[in-house]
Amino acid sequence: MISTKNKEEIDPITMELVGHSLRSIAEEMSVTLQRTAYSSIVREAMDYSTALFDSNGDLIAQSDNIPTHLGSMGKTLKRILANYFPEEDINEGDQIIINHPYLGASHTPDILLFSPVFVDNKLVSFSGSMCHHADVGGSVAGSSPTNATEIFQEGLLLPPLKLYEKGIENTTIFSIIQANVRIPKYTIGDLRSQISANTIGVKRIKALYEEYGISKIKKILASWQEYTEAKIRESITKIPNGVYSANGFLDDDGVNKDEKINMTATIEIKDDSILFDFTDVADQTAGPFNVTKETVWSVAYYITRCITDPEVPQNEGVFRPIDIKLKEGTVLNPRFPAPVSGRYHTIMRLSDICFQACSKFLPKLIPASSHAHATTLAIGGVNPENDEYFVYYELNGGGMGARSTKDGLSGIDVYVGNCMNVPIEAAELEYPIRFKRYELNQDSGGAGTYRGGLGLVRELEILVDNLSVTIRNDAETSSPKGFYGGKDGLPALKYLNRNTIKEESIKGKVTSMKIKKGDVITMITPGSGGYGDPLKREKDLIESDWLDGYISEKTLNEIYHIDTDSLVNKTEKD
Amino acid sequence: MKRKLSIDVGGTFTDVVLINNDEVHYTKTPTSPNDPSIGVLKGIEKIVLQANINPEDIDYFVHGTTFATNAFLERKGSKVALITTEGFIDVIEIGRQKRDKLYDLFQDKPSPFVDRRYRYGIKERISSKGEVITKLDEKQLKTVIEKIKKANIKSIAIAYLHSYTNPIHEIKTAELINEWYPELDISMSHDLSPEFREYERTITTVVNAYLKPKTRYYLKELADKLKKRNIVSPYIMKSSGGAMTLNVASDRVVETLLSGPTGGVIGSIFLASKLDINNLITLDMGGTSTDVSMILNRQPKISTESNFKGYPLKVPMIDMETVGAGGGSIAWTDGGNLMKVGPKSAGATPGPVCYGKGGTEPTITDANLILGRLDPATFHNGELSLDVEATKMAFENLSKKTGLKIEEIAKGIIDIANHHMAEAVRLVTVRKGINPKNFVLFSFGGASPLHACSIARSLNIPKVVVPQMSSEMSAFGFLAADIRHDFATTKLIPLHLDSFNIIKKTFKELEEKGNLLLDEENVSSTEKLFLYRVDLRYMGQAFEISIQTKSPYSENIISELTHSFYEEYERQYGYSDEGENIEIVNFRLSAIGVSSELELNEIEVKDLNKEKHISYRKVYLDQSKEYKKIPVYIMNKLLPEKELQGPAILDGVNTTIFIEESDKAKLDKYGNLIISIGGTSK
Repeated sequence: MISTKNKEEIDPITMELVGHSLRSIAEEMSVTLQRTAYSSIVREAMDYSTALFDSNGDLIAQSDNIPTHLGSMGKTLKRILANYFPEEDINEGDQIIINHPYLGASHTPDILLFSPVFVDNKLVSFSGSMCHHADVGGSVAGSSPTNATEIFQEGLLLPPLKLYEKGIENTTIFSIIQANVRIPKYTIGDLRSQISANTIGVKRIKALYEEYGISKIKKILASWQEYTEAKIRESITKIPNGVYSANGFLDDDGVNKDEKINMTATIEIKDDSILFDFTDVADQTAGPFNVTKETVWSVAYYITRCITDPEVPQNEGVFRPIDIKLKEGTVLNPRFPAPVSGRYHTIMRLSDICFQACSKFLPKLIPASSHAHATTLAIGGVNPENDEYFVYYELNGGGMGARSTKDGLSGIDVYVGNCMNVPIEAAELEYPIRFKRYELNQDSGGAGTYRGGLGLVRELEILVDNLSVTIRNDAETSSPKGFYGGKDGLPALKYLNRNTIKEESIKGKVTSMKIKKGDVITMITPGSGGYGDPLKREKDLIESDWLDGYISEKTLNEIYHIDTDSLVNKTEKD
Repeated sequence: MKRKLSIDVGGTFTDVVLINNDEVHYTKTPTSPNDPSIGVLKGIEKIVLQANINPEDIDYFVHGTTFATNAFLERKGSKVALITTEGFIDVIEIGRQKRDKLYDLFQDKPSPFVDRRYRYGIKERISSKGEVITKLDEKQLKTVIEKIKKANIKSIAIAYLHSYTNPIHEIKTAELINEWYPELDISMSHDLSPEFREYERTITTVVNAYLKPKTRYYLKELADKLKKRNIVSPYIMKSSGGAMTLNVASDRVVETLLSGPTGGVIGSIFLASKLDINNLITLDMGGTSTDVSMILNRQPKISTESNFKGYPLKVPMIDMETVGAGGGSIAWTDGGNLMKVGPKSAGATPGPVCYGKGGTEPTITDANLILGRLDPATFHNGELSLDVEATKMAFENLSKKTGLKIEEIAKGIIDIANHHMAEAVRLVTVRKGINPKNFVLFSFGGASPLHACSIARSLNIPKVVVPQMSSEMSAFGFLAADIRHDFATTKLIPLHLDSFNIIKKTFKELEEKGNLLLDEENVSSTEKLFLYRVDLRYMGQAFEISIQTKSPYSENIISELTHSFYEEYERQYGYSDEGENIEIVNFRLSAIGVSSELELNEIEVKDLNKEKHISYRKVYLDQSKEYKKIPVYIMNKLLPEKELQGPAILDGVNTTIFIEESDKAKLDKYGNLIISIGGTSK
């Protein structure tokens, strides 16, 4: 039975019933949001999350979308409750909006919306959604200028506000948003999707409370959280006590182009708890690669979930055994008004560094380094076909590192991200672009007993004049690390008009680069590290890799020391 | 047509139904997994003997096959090559870039079914508007086909970008292949799924190519064997609930993946029409899983957005939720903290503990035995004796771990299983904004009628129907199925009067295609029926709502569709913005050859005194939370239209029905059991 205070009252069957229902509410909210959304980043890439909280802001269930949103949503809600809208100021029918990174949100394009649930006139719960909007204004299309030096360049800032009060829409806020964003249809449309998702959440949570009664649900939630906490602590106990560190860096901050951003993560395992010390990191950056503290938490949660019990339900109980240490004024806890829009790259890198530290105590569990970043591309301008302003946005994954028992995965989003790609046909139907290539990048997965997953090559042609492109990427000056003798993967690269006389290699972050009809952009995303000595790789796997073109003949000969003539099926290659 | 035969090949049994004028015969034979046609022929032999007719006298034959399904699940398809646009050979491996599990560091991606070395990028390009940007490089294609020939590949998928809007290059490629390597089995993406989103269309085509050679071989073997015995060639059930000829099925194998389970849905819809029921939910519980489908106005919901075992296959399938809870699902505890049921199943071997075939882990069937709901003496007509002692021992183990009593555990297992099944019902109703209380639950498949009343009560469903042939429901349903061909095409245009001519023209073209196929199948013009649907969305969204229209050839269609869209959108998502522009994404046409109406016979009442219950049994009752002695009846000995108050157990043929205290049941004039559920709120 459950080893909790509530042991006598809550049986395992009711626990399972209620837990299952909560989870399905969060999922239902997620489906609603996606299906009603307008921008490709929400409806195709699914860059959003939905969740349920109790009246204190403690997480009770979350949809399985983006780990980046993990933890940060509850922290935001708690801050709203503590500093802006205490319980007595919250009414049935309210919807609270926020995107201000320094008042609890993440980066400006992520708009959070919380909707209180009342049962018998008592506040019992919140439904919440966090959604990446295609544009919230600011200096560039997509609101993520890679050369921003203050947050005001990153778009409209919304402190915690009541978008709805007692069921009545605040049209003033809508008008302000409408006037400040490039494509109101996307932003207002996706905001309506959030409202829709939250409203369905409210309805369903209410029904659940009415079915079981407030006090019983409260006990069940407490038991769920205690159960989750106990499972996590139990897993941590199995890890030997100790202090483990690793470091790494981001290429640059987009403003000071030749200054690396160094970060050291120190993980301390102490009995049944885990401490992430992130104080030994670079000072806050001039460019937008800073991370506000609510978002840093998501890395600690994500890592903890991966190295403990990946199957336990997602709720506040996961968080309790974890603590983090941050230092104000650093890249991981900046002071207002430092820009933050590129924070995703920082936490992807931080995840990678944490995993490297973890591999020191869990060598069999942790994969070699993955692509550790995402290449995001935003193209904006007027489409002459309909004279409308558009923003096209996509986010590309890369390789996932090799594991101790098998190869890594190719062309996938990893770590705290989990975005989908935008289908080529969907993009071409709507925007004046045409793709030329979307393939895996040969040899980008590091060699090893198990090979790293491959990165991507995504190449597109611009079909009209007068557009501008912003590309946020990283890992051009560092390679995903191989583990235990495995080779490193290949880093990122970008080109303009590759393989033509106009070919230009594009280094570093790109903000509002002018592009015209006929230009071709090539993005090559990083691969990932191999695991174990390449010379111990099974020969038929190597042969397969070569026949399938995952590796080149050069790699076959020089790294695996295999002579092409010795292969059994070599004739298949021609 | 007077003699109609249908055969459903399941995992354990091959079910056979024959309608001989006004008699209905049904029987079962064991499935022959290696060559299902053996079981099919045995079934035919058995049923013709029973009905006393000659096999060549069968006029019409429908077959539901899991051949392709099993080849898919067991990964026993053929070696496949893929031909696609140059630069895009890895679309099929990248998929949608998302990982299924957030925190599992050892997860895999769904296999792309085609090794990278056999993926070939050909120089060609069609734009999103359908213009040819780069001509097909026939010389390069020739070299590629030679390589494929050399590699001894027998099946190929062709999937070029934007082929849904202009298939010219796919068609040309196929023509050239027929010339150069005619033995090669061809699957074309525009033919199987002419819709945008390249990964989904390509994987659908590749899966078809992967399953095609072997399935085609099986169907050909079957056809030959039947021909030798002068038995009519069968129609094959497809996942959309229609039937297609064996020849068409041999080309569109990916459309047969839900061939079996759709029978239960179609059969239920047919029964519903006889019983004057409009809205129904089917609950088909087998040994390892339960299929649930929601049917509004007797129209099955057919969607092309189904995810089949991790693959987004874009072919029409009846909307079905499957949960891993079946009679054989195993109960376990997570370190004594949480009770779980399934998805692991004891399957046919070893089966539940009570089968005495070596199973040691308690299953749902075992829990039903502990609660007295199954009778060890009469299970499967006494052909299978149940081991009560072994079952109790297995529960003792769980009891020690959890500190709960045996019957508490058994009750808990049933509650959790019922909850999973109720969740599946919720997914197809509540989650879509539909209240299940306006539905009737049709319960069939061996294990379902033990659980149906409780599930219905938890969802406030007032009525349950257990069909007379509840354990052969799929095969029965095949006989009610129409011949059906589904066509679709993607055209993004605004829903506006200006588009009316395009709408008209598009449907005309689809209708011509449908007519042609129905003519090939000798469907007469009076039996032809065309259903027109368009997928609509607010301009700028990515997900569509499919709306049916009566006739696309009148200008009223614009206002009719607009209105229906607003209504449906509001129902699903809670609001709709009537000021926003709507666009059409896909046009869909179903060309149907309506099957002749089945006749149901009323049961004859020969002995007015026969209805007495035969015995009493101690059964655990959910509502009073204790064991009580309750009467046991034989279902087909009940008098029709006479109401019976629960609690009671009814023994049917190959099934057991449990009616709880607040429920009332009666047999209708056709022999179906109609149960009124009491104790629901509102």
